[in-house]
Amino acid sequence: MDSASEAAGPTTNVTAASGAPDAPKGRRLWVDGRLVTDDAEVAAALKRVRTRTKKLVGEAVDKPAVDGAGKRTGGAAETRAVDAENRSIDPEALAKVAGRLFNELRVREAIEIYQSILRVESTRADANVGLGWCYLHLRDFDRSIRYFEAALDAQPDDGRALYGAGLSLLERGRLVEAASYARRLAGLSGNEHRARGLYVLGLVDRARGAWDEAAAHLEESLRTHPHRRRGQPGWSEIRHRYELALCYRELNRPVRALEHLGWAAQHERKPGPIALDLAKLYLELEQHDEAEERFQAVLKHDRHSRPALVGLGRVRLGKHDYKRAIQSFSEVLSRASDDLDALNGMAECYKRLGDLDRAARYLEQIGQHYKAPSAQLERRLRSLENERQMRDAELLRMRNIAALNIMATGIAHELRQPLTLIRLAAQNARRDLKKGDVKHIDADLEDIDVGVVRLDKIISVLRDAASDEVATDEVVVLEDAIDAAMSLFRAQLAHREIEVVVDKKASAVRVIGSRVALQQVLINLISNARDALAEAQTKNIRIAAAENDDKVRIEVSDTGCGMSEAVRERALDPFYTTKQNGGTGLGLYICHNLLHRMNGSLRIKETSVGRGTTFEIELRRAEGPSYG
Amino acid sequence: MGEPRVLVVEDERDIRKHIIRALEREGMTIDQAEDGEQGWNVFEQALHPVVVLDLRMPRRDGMALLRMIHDRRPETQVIILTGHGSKTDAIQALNLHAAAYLEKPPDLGALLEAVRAGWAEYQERIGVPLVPAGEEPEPPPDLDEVRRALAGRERTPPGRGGP
Repeated sequence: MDSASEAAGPTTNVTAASGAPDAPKGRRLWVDGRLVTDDAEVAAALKRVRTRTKKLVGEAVDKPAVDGAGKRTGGAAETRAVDAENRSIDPEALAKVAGRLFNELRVREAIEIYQSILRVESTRADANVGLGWCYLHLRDFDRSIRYFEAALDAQPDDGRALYGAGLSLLERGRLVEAASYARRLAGLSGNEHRARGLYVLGLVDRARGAWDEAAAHLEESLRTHPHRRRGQPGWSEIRHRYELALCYRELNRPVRALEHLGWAAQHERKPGPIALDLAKLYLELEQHDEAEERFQAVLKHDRHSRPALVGLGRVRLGKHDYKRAIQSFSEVLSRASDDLDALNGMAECYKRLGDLDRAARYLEQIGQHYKAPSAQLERRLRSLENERQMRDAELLRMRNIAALNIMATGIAHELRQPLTLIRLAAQNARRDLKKGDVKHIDADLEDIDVGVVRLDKIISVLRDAASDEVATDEVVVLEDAIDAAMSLFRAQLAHREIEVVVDKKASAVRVIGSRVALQQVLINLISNARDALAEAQTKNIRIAAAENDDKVRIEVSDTGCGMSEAVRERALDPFYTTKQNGGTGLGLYICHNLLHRMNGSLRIKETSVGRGTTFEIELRRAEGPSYG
Repeated sequence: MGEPRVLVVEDERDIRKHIIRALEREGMTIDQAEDGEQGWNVFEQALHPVVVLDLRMPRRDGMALLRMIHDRRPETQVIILTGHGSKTDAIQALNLHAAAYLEKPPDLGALLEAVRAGWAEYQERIGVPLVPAGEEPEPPPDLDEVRRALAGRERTPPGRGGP
């Protein structure tokens, strides 16, 4: 306090801050952000600072002037040092120092100096403008607007203040006021003012979605007063071009957008946000290689850059390289499991891979993370749901066709056998009755009954095969499912001399899933085994099951032709078939999907050419005692 | 005019049982077999003017058996009874000189009629003496003799390869 009041010179109007500089007593100083207490060190620091300050402000230092209110925040060391030693500095020189500091992005220090000269009449306007810019830089827009307005009250035509006020108001979304300041600025004399005014006007247009006018204003601004260049183009020009590029992108003029964005990205200090935008633009234009190059460049500087990783994923998605796309997305998800873009990407990948269940799961995750999904997300979910329904319906139709195809080969025979029994029994009974012979009647009626039951069983299986109601949490007795499936095959398998062995233990096993779906899976697998056994010497199908903990593993093996490694790899793919007479290629794919829905799985446990194949179904085990 | 001895080859027991009952009711003598292999063995041991034959059977299917029967005793009247009823099967069977082709489920009346027609055709062709109902049939005639008797009437089988 004392030193401050002492220092108050004729031109000063400064109230010293409460924490007066304590350099004289105790010799504690903040120099370059460091607290210095040792006397010798303080002296050395002061000397160093003084030379530096002299260089900064030149002759101003020795003029009689004001004291700064030296608060003890790290950074304002120069000011305090100057205060402490000289206590007589020209406020205008201080304003220049602050300006330099601001240009070096030492904003906090600049603010302190500006604050200290704010009360001085001659520098008040400068200080207000300076503070406005400082707070604009710190993104404290309300304050910056206050300072700019204060400056403009004093000097309505201050270009810097108009410019800053326009930008600040723009940031706060007060577009009308921003535009009015911008127009005032553009109306000032001098190309630079005009260019800046146009620039702000352009930004205002952009903010209100008038892309056309925005682009026109920005272009005009660029033409009116090209940015000054000292070798390296400044940030303002990069920013200017960047904004232009964004406008052109919105206007769907990719060539112009690429031109400006490319320029901006090229002059970006290191591949960062602009490079990312450029890459995204390439991605939108489906120039995947260029996009990938940019994303990779960003990743080189920042290995974990989320937008770059997501972008890379999207590039790979665009290149239909789903596996690597999934890699990229999962790398993002491993860091941030709620990343919307990555989840979206994952969903997209799996959708393209045809795994709609997983796709839906990722979309559900999005829904969970973002409790109130945006309209867009909801639309996407809905459209995916629609697509899923359509695909499901399509798949169901194909499944039915496939199932019918499988069954058609044997089904007529299977149906006609019981029909034959019924008809013959009925006709025999009538003929006997005509002769008054009743000793066979009971047996005949029983035969008819048996035939009807057999027919009913087959028809049920057929109906089930064509139904799309797949419950997923029934308790299914494996034996029942095997019986139902076998009812379609008994005659044809016998005819082909294929022996089916069902492991004793398998019968009693109970699983959680859907009877209908499990039947369908078994029908498919048995039908495949039947075809694989066509040329085999030993013709056996074996169905076995093993339980452990909460899982049941069911094996369906045959002694048929087996698969080569290449076939095995693709066996579960949709529309892949090795059957000569036109299989649909959907059998195993459908099995895989059905089991997936039952929270189970299907895999080819082993297969070798000429020796046979073993499929393994895994399902949840039903609790409770097995009966059997 | 007597009733023929008929061989019924059908793999499903219940169906076989009903066919046999229907034929027996008409006073025919019946032999039966449950698959192609057994059918051939039974056929070789006795003379069956008429055979009722299922096509899809384990251990040698009906079509193979039909061919063998025709090769051994071309005069035999084979009535095909099938659950598959594909056109190619029907054509193939008729090319192999099947006497009739019936689809399952058959009408018993039609089956009996086919058997009777086959029996009549057989008698026409071979001229064997009638076997009165209930009596044991004559032992099978010497095969070469039958061949010789047939040599004059035998049709040329259309488009058929050798055995």
